[in-house]
Amino acid sequence: MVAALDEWRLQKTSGFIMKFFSAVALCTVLAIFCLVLAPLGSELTNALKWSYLTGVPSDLGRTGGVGPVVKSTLVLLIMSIFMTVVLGLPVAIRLAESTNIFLRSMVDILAGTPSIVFGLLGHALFVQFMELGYSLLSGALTLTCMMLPYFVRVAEDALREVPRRFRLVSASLGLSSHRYFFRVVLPLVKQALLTGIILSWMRAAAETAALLFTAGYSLRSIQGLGILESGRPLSVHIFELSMNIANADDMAFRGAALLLMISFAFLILLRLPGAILKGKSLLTDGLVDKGKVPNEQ
Amino acid sequence: MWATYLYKASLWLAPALVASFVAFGFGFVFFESLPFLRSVDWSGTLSVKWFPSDESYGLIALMSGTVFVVVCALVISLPIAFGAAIELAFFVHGPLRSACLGAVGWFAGVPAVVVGLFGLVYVVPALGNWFGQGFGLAAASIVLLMILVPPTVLQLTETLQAETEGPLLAARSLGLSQARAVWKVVLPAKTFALAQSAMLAASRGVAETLAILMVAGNVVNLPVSFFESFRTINATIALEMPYALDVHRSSLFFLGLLTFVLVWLLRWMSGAFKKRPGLS
Repeated sequence: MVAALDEWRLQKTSGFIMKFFSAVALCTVLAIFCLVLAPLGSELTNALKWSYLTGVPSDLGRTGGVGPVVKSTLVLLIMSIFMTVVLGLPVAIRLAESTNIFLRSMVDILAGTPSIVFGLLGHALFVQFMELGYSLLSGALTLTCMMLPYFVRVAEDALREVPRRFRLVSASLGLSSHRYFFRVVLPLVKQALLTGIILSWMRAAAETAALLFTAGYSLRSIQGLGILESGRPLSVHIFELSMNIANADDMAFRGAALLLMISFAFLILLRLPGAILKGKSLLTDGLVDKGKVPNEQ
Repeated sequence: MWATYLYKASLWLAPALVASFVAFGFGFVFFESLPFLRSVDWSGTLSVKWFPSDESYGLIALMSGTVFVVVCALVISLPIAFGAAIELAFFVHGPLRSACLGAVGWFAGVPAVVVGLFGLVYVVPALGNWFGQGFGLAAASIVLLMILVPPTVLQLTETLQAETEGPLLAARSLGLSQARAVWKVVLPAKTFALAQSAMLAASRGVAETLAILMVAGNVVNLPVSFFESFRTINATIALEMPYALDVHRSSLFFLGLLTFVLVWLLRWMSGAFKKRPGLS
């Protein structure tokens, strides 16, 4: 009897220790999260002022706005998302339809490459060989290479969810393959594709090192679209302000707050239709449970 | 119909483009590193002196910088990540769990620049006040911890929950408490999954460039103390690329290939851990 009581006490204690340790670990993670975001929160109101967003940087960025930076970031964003989707969808279709070891290993190689190697790759291939120079175009092409594996992964999973019989039925009804894709498949996988775009954008927004060697870091105002001109995306701007320019820390934090706000807004905006129409949650997405996470992987 | 032709054409054109990006990209990186590979004195690489202006290309200091920082970061981040993942997978339920997962998920998306900035402005001065110099292995490990923990927690939470519902319910129905069931039934079967995520975290650590660069001090040095400046392979590439010439430049491309090989080695090792398909 006494032995059983001791055993029960031992179980209780060890159970408590384990739960305590795990809880502490979780709280540590959340505490770190709050700790990192706190300084940014204070700069948040500054970051969202119109004068900051569209103004011209002066004094190497210590004062003034980040207009050209925002423009470069947006141009890069739009170009790279466009290219990722255009290149990634066919690749995903190919991978979903048939096992293609060569293609899959190509995408896997892209997925596993460290970002700085992408910088070297982009530099050697786009800046030098294709003679695009330090430009937003080479930056966008490099970002596309980086974003592609994430988008393809999500898109392929989504495409695999489409039942095979849809293909057979549409073929028997005389639907050509491109009609089948755009009219039958696409409406079904739209939400997942948007999620894929968000995911790959979060990867791209965090990218600094690779863009340093491909898009350059010019701070001039860009005329027109300036695809072939060097520009400075927001992440590079934050980096420059914090490392290479003295006394620019609060501006760096302001830029960081802006970057986080853009990512967050993008995230929520693209999930808004789903949340309103279907009651899906606005903050968490199925991705969290599927373990497809952005960032250096 | 031209639309169908366009569709069908893109179905082979896009993969061809992607494959050519990969092939040409890596081909050019390799090609750019050839001058270095041809002219380097290989015995000279086994030294601590990385001074390209003196034609000395010692790799030991750089490699040990990378290895040390990843090891230190893993030592502090793996317990936290494992603990948090276990907590989220088995002990927290409902809306609180979704909220935590959402927070961790969003934190995983925070750019490395921002984490590095935080480290530069807060961690480094704090360490400097307590220990003398702020830049160094300690600061870099802390920053790397902040980068490695969220993705590891997310991935591990998902992995820990895969195929454990059955055995867990069985253990609970036999009278074990949740903690006991997790510790004795679920975790022993998931040791491979834990090892795998540790390897993946290590590969992420080796691949990380910017955040470490911002807090490490960047002096070519063998990191023997926690508060001495040091440098990693990736940081060397990022810092010296803007002004490197000729052989120096191609040595940086070689370093890029080196880090690529290291990352892939770790990823391969994590894949090799995927032996058992489920619980025993």
